[in-house]
Parts: sequence; structure tokens; C-alpha cells
Amino acid sequence: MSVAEKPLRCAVLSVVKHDYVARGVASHPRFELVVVADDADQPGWAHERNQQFADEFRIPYVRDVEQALQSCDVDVAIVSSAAERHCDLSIRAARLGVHVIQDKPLATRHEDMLRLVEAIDQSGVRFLMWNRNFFPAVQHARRQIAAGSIGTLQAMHVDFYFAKDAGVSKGTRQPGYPPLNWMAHQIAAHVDGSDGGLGHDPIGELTNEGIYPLGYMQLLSGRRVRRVYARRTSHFHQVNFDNQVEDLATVTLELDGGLTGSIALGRIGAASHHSGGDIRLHLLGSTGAMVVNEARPDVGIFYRDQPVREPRQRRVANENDLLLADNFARAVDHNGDTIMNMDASREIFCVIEAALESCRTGQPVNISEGR
Amino acid sequence: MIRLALPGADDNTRLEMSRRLHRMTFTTSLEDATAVAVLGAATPEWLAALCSQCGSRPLLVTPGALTTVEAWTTYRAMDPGLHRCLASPARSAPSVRLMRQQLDSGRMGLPGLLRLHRWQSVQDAGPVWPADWLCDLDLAIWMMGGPPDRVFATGPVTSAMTEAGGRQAETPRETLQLHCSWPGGAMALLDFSRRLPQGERYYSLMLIGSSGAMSLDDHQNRQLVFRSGVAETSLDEETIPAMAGMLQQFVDGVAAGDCSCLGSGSGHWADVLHLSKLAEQSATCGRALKWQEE
Repeated sequence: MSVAEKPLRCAVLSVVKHDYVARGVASHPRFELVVVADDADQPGWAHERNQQFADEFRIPYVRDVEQALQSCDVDVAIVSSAAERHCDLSIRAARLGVHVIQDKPLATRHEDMLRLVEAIDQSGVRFLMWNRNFFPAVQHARRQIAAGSIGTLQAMHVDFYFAKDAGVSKGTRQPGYPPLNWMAHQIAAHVDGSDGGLGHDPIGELTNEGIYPLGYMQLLSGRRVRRVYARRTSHFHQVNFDNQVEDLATVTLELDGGLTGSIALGRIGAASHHSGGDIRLHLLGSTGAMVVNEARPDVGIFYRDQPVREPRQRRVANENDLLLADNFARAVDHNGDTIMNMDASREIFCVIEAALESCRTGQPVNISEGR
Repeated sequence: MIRLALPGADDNTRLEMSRRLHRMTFTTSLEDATAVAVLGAATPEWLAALCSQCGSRPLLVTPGALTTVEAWTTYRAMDPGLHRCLASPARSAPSVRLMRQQLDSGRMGLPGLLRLHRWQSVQDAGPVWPADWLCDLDLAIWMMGGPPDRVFATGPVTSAMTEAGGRQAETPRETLQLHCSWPGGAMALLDFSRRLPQGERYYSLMLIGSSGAMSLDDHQNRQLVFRSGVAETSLDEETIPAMAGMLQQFVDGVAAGDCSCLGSGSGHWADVLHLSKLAEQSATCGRALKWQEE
């Protein structure tokens, strides 16, 4: 069996958050989920979720991360823990020579990010930040730009809205009530998969979702962001307001070579879109422009007594998961780069960090190399 | 019955308006008119002469008529005691009226984000800021309930705008990204570009509120046309209905003695010009600026 045919054995390191990363990897025939693992000191609800996932895939659940990584002949670690544990689990895997596929965000603290960068660099393992860059509409845009259809890219604007709720609406609680507990809310949100912010430390949508539009910009332009100006607010949800993290944010970006851009993102409430959210790219070039609906191709589905919250437009032909996994497999096979490697992930982290700083200062923030 | 004169309007415009307006008649005689509206570009000399002829009769002017700094100066120098209206037809576009109705109904909740793209063709000449862009600033201030408290802009640096008229007939600005924020957290991103190939245009407006969202988008509203082996898109215009809506409001306002619904107060357009000026200053200095700098 050649290197390119050898199955890649995967350890799922904590799948307490939405499990689409692990499922996405498993959709590729090269990858085989062989064990779920987590630290023994995790709370009961975490063990329960890990066990449920393990049971579904008929693989063992081991309450010892290092034991699982070392004894199960693991090639790849898939990390989908609470956000603040991402770096720790990824570092531990890398130090044992295990390649890493990690859920977003990259990190919740700058120092953790630096430790992860160092660990990946020193270990030489492959790293992939799970992303959306293989969505068909995004790849279509990439091909058009590469073919020169709109000339040289001059401006990029991305709207990235998840039309999802996050608990009760802002302003619906009586004055004097205690603030909503972030972790408790995230645990409850697991049922509909909107627990991307799972963790003890509240994180806003810039940290949680920002990787996606920034990933598009990175893919389409290949340029670094040099300066950002950002504003943020908690406009929709009480839990965001109580925990002082944003559910709506806007960013103006200045990139290398005079390229400019903007991002508007947020978790805008389930009522605000018929099908889960609006994601759109507006791209201006020197000889033309493009407007891209990231949700296409799609099919409209309507029927009597349809549940209000059921999406009316359903995406089709989306092989993002398969292509990400394939991209990772090739990187492992050929010791090459993934579509969102450590460098790219770090860059995105630094842009988000600068945007948050801009929100605090009310002024644009420069992003230096090696931040 | 209001007798409305449209000096300078072409025959097609008069015909289209005559099909749509109620409670008025058209007249080509300024002496006979009880209200006057200027819809197209006007030289400052012609505008000054028209104002003199109008006397105390209500006069409506659109930003498209004020294409030079001199024209703006002429307009702003008009006797404030006279009944003068500066109104944006964009507010009266059917799509915008619908969005405003929804906002006013409370269904959208509190406005949180306004996102606007206006892409136009390359311009060889014209004002630094075209009327369309100013009308979009007007729309943003109107939809968001007032001017922003902080403004950041990025784009190629141009000459500073003059104090007097606020606009210069120099090299037209090609692009500008405007990033505004309001007390309470609301935000707006406005993206202007005049770099599309000749004859092309694109517009989209999205408003997200605390309990809903609305979207007006040329992308969504285009129709497919198959010819010459290449699929194209075509877009129906809202220009005529927008103009008719604005004129109807003007006519009804004149009849009622109150044209405030057109948003024509001089203070409001002073805000629009101030916002455009702040945008230029921010793009030049690279800093975010407060509405009123200390």
C-alpha cells in the first residue's frame, strides 16, 4: 500500500462542541476515526457528549488524551473542544508527532497562539484550521479572479451573517436580573449546533466567525492585512450583552498593494433570513466586478405546514468538507501546505486581535509582521 | 389643484410623470405654476434666475441639479424665508419606501447595521461626489435616525472639499469606503466605486435590525437574458417611480403647507454635506473622526 493510500487514523480530541469537523473529516475515505479522547477531569456533560459520538461511530472513548494518541496508532488529531482548550490539545498532539485539524477559533489568547505556532513549527506536523474556502461559490470566485475576469483585485467586501438565535433577545430580561451565564447558554445551544462559542470565556462573533470571511479574503487576494478599523456591538442577544461580547461587528481593512475591504458579520437572529443567513462577496477589480452569493447553488423547498425555522433554500453540491479533508491528506502525503495552515491561521488571528483593539480605541490599528 | 412646472425636464419625463401624479396639473408656464420642481442638472445662473422667478412659490430641487460648487452656493444662499425644498428621489424609490415602512412599523426592531454598495461606471468628469453618493448618505442618516457620531473612511486621497459649497468640480473621486457608527452601537458600511466598465452599475442596500433584516439587491433583482451566446442580466429601473413618488409627496406637501416629509430641512442636508466632508478628511488623515471634533 502506497503512502497515498494508507488510511489516516484519527483521534477526535473532545467533540463537545458542534461535531461537524470530525464528521467532515470522516466523510473522506482516506480518514478513519479510531478513538475519541479527552482529559479525565472534564465535566460529566463533556464525557457524555464524547461517549455519544464514540458510540455512534463504534469507536472507543478514552479518558486520557496522551494514552489515546500513543496507543491507538494515530496519525491525525481532530480538535473540537471548548474554544479555550483548542491550543492545549493541539499542542499536545503536535508534540507527539500527530498532525492536527483544528476547529476555530485558533486561540482565545495571544500567548496560547504563540505556543501553538511554536509547537507546530518545531514538530513539523501538518496543521489545518477548518474553514469554508472550498465552498463552490468561493472556488468559483477564485477561478474567475485567477483567470483575470475582473482584472486586478482592488476591493473585497464580505457580508457574513448567521441567522441564528442565541437565547433570548436583548432587552427582554428585567432590570436587576443576574447576567446570563455564558457557558450554561452554550451547553444548552448544543442541541441546534449553535454552540460555536462553547467555553468558560465568552467570545464574540469576531473571534468566533471572523476566520471565515477573512479566510475568503486571504484565499482570493493572497495579500496581508496591514490596518483595520472596527466597530462592534451586542445588538440582538441578551447573553452577548450580559457578557459584553459582540453579536454584530464591522471591519474596514487595508491590505498590501492598496487593496481595501470590509467585513460585516454577526449572529443576527433566526427571523432575519429564510435560510440560516446571508453570506455574500462583493469583489471589485480593475476591469470589472463580481457579486457572489456564497450559498449557491441551492434548491428552494416549500411545502404546506413547513416548520417556520426550516430553511427554504438548501445548499447543494457542497463538497467543502470532503475537499478540506482531501487537501489535508495531500499535505500529509507530500509534506506540503494545507489551504489554511499555521501561518494563515496566525495571520487571521492577528487581524481579529487588531480589530478588537480598534473597537476599544475607536481608531484604526496597524498590523505589523510577526505580531 | 396644484399646478406644477418642471422647467428643464424633457418630454419623456413629463409624460411619465403625467401618468402617475394625482391631485395636480402640469403647466409649462412659470407664471401660472403654484409649485416648481427642478429634476435635472442646473447651472448656477439658471438656478438663480429660476429662484428669482419663483418668488415665494415652493421650489423643489434635487441634489442632481446641484452639480457644481457654485450651484450649491446659489442654493444655500437662497432666502431661508422662501419655501425651498432639497429632496432626494432615492427616498421615494418603491423599494426604499417599503423598507422605511417596515422600519417604522417596528418589525425590524432597532437598526443595527446598514450596508450599502453603489458601483458605477468610470466618469470622465463631474463633481468629486456625485449626487447619487450624497443621496446615499442622506439615506443612511435617515434610516439610522440621525447622523453618526464617528466616521472612518478609506480611499484615494483627493483635494480637500471647500467650505462654501462643500463640493468641487475636480477629478471625480473613484472609490470610497465609509465606516460610520452611532451612539448605542449601530453601524454603517458604505462602499462607493466608479470603476465599473462603461454602462454598468450595481446597487445593494441591506438593513439589519434587532428583530429582522431587509435586503434590496441588484444581484437578486436581475433578469437573465440569453443572446449572442453569452448570458447577460438586465435590471428594471426604479428611477421613474422614485421621481414620481417624490413629486407626489411634494405636491401633497405643498397642498398641505408642509413639505417636511421630504426630509428637506436645511439642517438635514447640512448633515449630509458635513458627513461627506468628514469622510474626505478621514480618508486624508487616516484617522476616525468624531462628528463634532473637540
